[in-house]
Amino acid sequence: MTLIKERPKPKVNDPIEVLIPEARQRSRQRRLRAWSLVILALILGLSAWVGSGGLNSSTNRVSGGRPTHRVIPVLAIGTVMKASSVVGLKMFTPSRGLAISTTWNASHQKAIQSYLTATKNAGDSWKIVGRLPMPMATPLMAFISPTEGYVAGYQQANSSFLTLNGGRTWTKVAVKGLATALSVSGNSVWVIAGDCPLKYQQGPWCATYLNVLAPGDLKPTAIRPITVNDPQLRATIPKAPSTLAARFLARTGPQGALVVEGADGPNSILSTTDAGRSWRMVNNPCKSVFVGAAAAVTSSRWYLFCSLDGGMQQGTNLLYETWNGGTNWTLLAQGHIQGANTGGLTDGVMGNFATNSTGSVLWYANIDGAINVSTDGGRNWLVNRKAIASMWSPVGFVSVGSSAFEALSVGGLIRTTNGTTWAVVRSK
Amino acid sequence: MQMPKVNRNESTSLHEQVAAEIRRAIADGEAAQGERLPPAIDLAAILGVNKNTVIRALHILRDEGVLDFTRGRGTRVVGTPERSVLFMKMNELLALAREQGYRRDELVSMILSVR
Repeated sequence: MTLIKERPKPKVNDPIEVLIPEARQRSRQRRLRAWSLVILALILGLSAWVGSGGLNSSTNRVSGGRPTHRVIPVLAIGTVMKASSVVGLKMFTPSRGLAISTTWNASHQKAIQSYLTATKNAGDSWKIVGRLPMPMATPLMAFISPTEGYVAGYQQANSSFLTLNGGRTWTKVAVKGLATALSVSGNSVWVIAGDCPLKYQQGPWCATYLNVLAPGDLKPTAIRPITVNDPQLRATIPKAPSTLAARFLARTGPQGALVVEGADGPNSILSTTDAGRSWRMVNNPCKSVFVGAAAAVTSSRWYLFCSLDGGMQQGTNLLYETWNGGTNWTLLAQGHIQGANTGGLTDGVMGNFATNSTGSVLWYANIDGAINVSTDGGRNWLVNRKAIASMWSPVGFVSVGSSAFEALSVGGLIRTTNGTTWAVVRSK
Repeated sequence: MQMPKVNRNESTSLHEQVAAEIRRAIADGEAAQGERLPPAIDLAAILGVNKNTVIRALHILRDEGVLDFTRGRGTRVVGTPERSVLFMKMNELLALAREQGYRRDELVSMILSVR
């Protein structure tokens, strides 16, 4: 038996000249083909994008000039947006802050996409840091830090979200009711949300809840109804249910807040100092005049702005101050439609009202676009300028240091750096 | 010089044949010391084998000290052509000994006995 068996004759394939140079040439050709495909794809993509209008996309028109449709691209992270896109904001310093910027359809009637944007230049430009899961026309914001915060669409269903990474990702937050205000103080985030029966989409027949969250929570640790069941108020509303609609006025501390109960009807001012476990009725100096807004300087020092109602524009503007948590109120200024004009307070319908951190400077924006400023704690007022176009309404003042900002509905931003001189921020 | 592609009917495994081809190519000066080898996928296409076979062959050559892999910089020739020639001849000798029925340790003993 032989150990060495005969091996089959090897089959020789096609010979090759050189191995490594041939492989190198093939590698070069392969890379060239890949780059050609990439460049071709880029050219095709770019031409499609330019065809749709690009960043400044507007209504496409056929030769006859008839509008066809508007294609609004989803903007990439890092894209810089103009201040005119801002619909809500939170400033951490006079120069740095976050905003929600929204793109709109051609008629500015419908929000298309909302983004979380950041500024480092006091709002001159806003860079996209994240995309919101849904478009928000009137967003509410409560940010604990530049990376961690909550957003919600005003009275927008299923629109409460949390981000823990500066807007890159969002997680849905389950709150009871439709959010009407978000507030953060200390380590406590509150979502004030209304829950209206289908039959009554607004008005005093809607219950309001205080959803209490700790930063990072995806559902409330407590849901507390806002009510004191004021018998006097209740007597004015026949067949009233157990709770009445409440509107958030001001946060008076980590555990405290002021709300007005009764929505657009007769009003009661309620106060809590235990995160909504109990509510007490506060002496209401506005009486029959609509409770417009309030601002808290400390837990017991508050300003109260009684305003013309937005419908029939009845009543007058009155500004009160209390130093003892609403037990006593002092009238500081009064409008001129009914009674004497005190302190030069004008009588527009109040859009927004706020104070700086010390209570020395006060701002009041009426819905006609005028900004009224007081630099002596509310005693004397000057109309600063018609800073806001009348089609826009103020969304909310944000005061930080000597600067203050206000976002406008349908996009836009006004700013003051000295507390008194306001101007529209126009991005280059 | 004309080289055959690898032979699937040969008793020597494919990756060893590929390693031998690359070794020979380096010995012939197709890639100098410090130069980068083309990607395995292109070597595989020229040799008519799978990319994984080439990668296995490259690992053998790395273990021999002929090649060096650095992440992000590809595969570089680090050994000299002389070293490659020596390895090539040793492999031929090993293949011949296997064909003649000698084991690896027997071959090593024979080499050690040569004076």
